[in-house]
Amino acid sequence: MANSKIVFWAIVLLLMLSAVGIGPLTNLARGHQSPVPTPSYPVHPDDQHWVDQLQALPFSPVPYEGAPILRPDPTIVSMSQAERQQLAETLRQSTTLVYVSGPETAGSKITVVGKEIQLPPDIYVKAYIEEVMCDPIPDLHCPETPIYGLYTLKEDAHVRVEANGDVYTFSRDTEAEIEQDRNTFQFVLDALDTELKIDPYKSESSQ
Amino acid sequence: MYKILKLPRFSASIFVSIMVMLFLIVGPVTANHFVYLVEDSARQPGGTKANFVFFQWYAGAFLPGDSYYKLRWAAQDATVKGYMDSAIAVWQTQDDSLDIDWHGWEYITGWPQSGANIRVYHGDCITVPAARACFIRQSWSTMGTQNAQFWHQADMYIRTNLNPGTTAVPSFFAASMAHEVGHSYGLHERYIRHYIDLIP
Repeated sequence: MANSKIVFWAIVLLLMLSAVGIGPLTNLARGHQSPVPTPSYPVHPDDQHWVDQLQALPFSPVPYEGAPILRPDPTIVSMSQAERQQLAETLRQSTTLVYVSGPETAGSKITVVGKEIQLPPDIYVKAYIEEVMCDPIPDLHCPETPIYGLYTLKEDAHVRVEANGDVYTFSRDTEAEIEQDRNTFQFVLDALDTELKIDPYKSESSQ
Repeated sequence: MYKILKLPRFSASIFVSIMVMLFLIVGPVTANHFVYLVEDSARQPGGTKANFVFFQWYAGAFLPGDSYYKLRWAAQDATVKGYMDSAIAVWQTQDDSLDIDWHGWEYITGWPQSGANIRVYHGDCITVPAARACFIRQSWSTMGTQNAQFWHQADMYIRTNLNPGTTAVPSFFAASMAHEVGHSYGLHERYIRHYIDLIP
């Protein structure tokens, strides 16, 4: 009787330890506990000091609710190289490209503050800007993202449609150019029930 | 089992409960460790449910070391290539919690380079002349077999001229590039803010 109990609790202890060990073992299988990789990209000696500075910064990603888990299924570790090759090739062949920037977007639909706007065939999204980093200049207007940079295919008119629904003309020198932007993109202004704003900022050069 | 071990049902049920709880708790905790590619869904183009990671990297995770599935990048000139080289090096030695060793990069020559997944431009961000740098999504791909959508191509812009009121420091452009590389990994602004904070 006493021996049976000892055996039972020994098994319980063993199984509990096994269960707790699954996490680290899974991470190990995923390569998570592999050593920090050596940089394979060259760092110029002049830049080494700031590279060291950046590397010293802590990185603590915090997931938010509903965020996708993107790491591929750990079962791939049991696949042979040939099976992996086949899977990767199947994935590659099953993809269909969709453009969010470029001439291919002419005539497509965009969505701004929940409103869907149909672009005419001669207007396209030259840039779907997900994020901008602005210079720390006082009173500088730094746009809300995402931004749609809308251009005519002839590139004779353009506006910037910001995430909050503001529509700006930019890099314009004359009133005639601004008026052309206003007329060309009146359908956007109407859809968002707003007036064209002017971004006075001009970069000193392209670089 | 409880008959074999001559134990009451109560003990057996406690044992089973403990085991079930362990599996339920330990499993998700382990999985959540990898929830780090977390961009704000509000930043996605209308209708897409993109998985915030480049397809090359997703496919490359199945074939570690296969250069075909590394993320290919190109640079407009040597200046921005230098910043990019160093920024990638920074990220490749980031904290191991990022589990970044499956993200392969491959520099390809030639400009403009349509075959690159990421193109690094040296100049003003399109439509936002005030921007120091920006990240522009070009295309994503749908994948029928996985019912998923993955990013395919993006452009980075970095401007290195100085405007009135700004001061150049050694880490200025480099930190900007490191910030943009963080976006290429799919990271939301809030996780790579510390690079910007380095800029005075």
